[in-house]
Amino acid sequence: MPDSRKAPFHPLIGKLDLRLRLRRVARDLGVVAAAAALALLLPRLTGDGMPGLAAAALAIGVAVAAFRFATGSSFARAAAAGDRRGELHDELASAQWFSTRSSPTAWEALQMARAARRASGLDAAELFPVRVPGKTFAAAGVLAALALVLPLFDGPLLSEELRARLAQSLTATPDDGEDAGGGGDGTEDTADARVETRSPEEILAELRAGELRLPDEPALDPAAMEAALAAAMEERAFEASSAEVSAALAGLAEAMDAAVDAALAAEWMASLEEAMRNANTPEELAALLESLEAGGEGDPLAAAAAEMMELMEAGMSAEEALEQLAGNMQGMDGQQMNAPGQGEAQQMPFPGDGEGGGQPQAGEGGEPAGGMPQGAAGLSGQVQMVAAEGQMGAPIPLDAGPAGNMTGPGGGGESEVFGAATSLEVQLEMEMIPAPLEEEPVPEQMIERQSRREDATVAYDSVQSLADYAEETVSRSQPIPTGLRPLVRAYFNRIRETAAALAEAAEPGGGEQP
Amino acid sequence: MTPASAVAEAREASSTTPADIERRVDLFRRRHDLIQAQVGRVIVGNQEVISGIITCLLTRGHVLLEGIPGLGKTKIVQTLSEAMHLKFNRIQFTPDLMPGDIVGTNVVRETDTGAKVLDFQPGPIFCHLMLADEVNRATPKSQSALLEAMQEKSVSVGNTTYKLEEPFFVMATQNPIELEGTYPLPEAQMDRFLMKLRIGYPTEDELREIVVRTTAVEEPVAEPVVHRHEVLEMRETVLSVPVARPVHDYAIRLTMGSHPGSPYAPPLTNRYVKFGASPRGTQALVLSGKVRALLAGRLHVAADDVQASVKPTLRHRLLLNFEGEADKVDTDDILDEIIERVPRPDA
Repeated sequence: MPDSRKAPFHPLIGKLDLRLRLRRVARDLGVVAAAAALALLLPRLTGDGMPGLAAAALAIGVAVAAFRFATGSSFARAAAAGDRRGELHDELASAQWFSTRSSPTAWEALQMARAARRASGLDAAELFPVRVPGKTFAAAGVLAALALVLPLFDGPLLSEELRARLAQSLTATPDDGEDAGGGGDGTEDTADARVETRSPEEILAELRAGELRLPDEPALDPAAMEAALAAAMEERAFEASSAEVSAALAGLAEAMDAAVDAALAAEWMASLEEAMRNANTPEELAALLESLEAGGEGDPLAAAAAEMMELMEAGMSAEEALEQLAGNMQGMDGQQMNAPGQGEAQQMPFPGDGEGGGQPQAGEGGEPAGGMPQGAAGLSGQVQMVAAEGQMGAPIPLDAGPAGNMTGPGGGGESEVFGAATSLEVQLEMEMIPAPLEEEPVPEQMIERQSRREDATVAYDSVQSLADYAEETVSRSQPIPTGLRPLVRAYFNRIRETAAALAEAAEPGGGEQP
Repeated sequence: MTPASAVAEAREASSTTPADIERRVDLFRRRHDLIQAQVGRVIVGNQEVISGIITCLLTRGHVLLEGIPGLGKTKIVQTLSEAMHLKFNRIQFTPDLMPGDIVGTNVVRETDTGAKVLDFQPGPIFCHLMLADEVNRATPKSQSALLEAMQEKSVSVGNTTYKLEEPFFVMATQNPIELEGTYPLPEAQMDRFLMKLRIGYPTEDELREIVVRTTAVEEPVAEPVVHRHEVLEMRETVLSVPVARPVHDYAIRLTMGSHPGSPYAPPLTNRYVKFGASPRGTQALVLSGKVRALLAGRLHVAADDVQASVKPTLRHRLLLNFEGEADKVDTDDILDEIIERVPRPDA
């Protein structure tokens, strides 16, 4: 608030303050005029706006601007603004502040006198000329034009159709816009034109591609449309059942995964489900079965698929057949499933290399890599790799099916191709450190004097963590060579994470002890 | 200027009428310019550094000069001492320097009667201007001998505390390279320096002028132009300059901007700073701002004066964390961000 006392420089600061507020209100009025123009125009365009909206918006805006004008007074701010504009190095602001003191010192009084002399040579209008921004003029002009022109027209300005589209576009979300432009044409008119020129074959192609949105234009031939839809449904019938089968298989695999002995079987089921999902037509399914059968006897996946096929031929539904198959597989001996040489999904434990980056030792030429002894654990502990799909490195013939992770015979043909890269599931396990051997108790006669327990205690919050102490010691005692700085940083970050994890695990109920 | 006239001037200046205040401000500027001109006869360039050293002298502070060898750190300090009628001592800090070599020691003396008494032999610290050359080459034990002297302006030896005569001004130099075998100054010691000034390479013209001046038969020398009481009076003048509350608040915000976790701390502070500036930093900001205001002929401190003092007064008060040390962060970069982010008065 302005100071009640009147220093010689106060009139200048008062004028500066007034001009600053006027400039702010001029900017505010531009926003108010724009809002009022929009409020005036919008109801007439859509036809369902609230009457008097523009007047209300204008009144509210003017009230807000008036409130800001009345309450935005600050001599300190005005003095600072004057200092900045006049390059006075805070002379006015300092004098303004000194003038608020009850008993200014001689230095302060002299400074105020200097500021007064300086203020007498300044013109507030020159420092802050009140100019209405161009945007405010433009908004006010638009508002005035609308206020004059709109009363000349009765009723809504746009046709029914345009108003509907405008309302739709105003209420549409960005997602709606994307859906409307899903065909890539961008506008609805062009989409209509494209629908009219489409042939039934094109519609069928679209349906096969998964675009199930049906055109509703009456210009299309209903008979051709019906035939195309029937053909499409026929084509997609298997796909739908295949999807159901895939879903059932996925659920079954999850259920089997919960069982301890059937984990590997669950992996197989997941593989089978993936393969069946990729087989969209009966021909592809038949090819799949053939390739599975070609996998040789003893291949559990092929056997499972063949058994499932037999059950389905016997009249069972796909779901029932899978449940029957799952029941049979749960009864299988887990050790037999894990036996080496099975080809699929070998468990290949191997030792860490001591640096935390274990190298998977894949079987070559279709030979399994299982059965390796587990060596001494490395820094990051034992790393266990499970090859879930396909034989690593085994060539797959051309007729082995579309999926790169399909199982193929190990033998090579004349033209061998390699399937897509197999996926690996790597699981890190904590290193198991054997408990230290307990020392032999020292004979009593060898002890000269029992060490006494110290009574001193240290406040908990004054104990510095070892990591902080080490960091401080390292960073302050010796300059660290530039090349080693990232390594040292990584080291401390690593031990901090480990310490935090250990602390978390040590909390009661916070986790298991490592 | 004769001593008698100086005393008369000082007496005149001590009154507080507006005319006297104007005269004091004018005297302050003239004396400052005199000192700077005498130093400028010998030293080429480095006007900011010379002005910074004089600022520290006039604000009861001490100065730490940092620069690579050969840039004239010691020469600047020596020349400055020559420009004033003040007692000057130089101590070359070495690893085997002992505290007693700085502050003095009690020696056994035989009196006329044959009795033996302990007599205090003052060390080189008993002077007005002390040059601690290569201060980081001495052990922390010897460095800490300066602590009491710099802050309390006194020296304790045995059971006796000796007062140092005002003005007592320590000018220390250190070399940012050749860190082998050095002992970085502890934070408590660094905090006692009002400013840390960096001396850079001279420009081409300055280098030419240096060669011309120093390779002739006669080298220019500075003549003493200011007496002790004049320095003390200039100190009083500095303290008299009023500071408005918004400028005080700005200095406080700038200081708090160096504190990690404070509302004014920019991201660089939060990331790289372990400990920020102490209240001494705020004092240094305001005092340096007062000198700048006087030199500009103003009777008030502007936010610009405070802002211009941020780097020399705060750069040595920021203690970086490990990440900052590892990333070789320059504290001047952090201070630049603080200046940019901290709001100015009534901004």
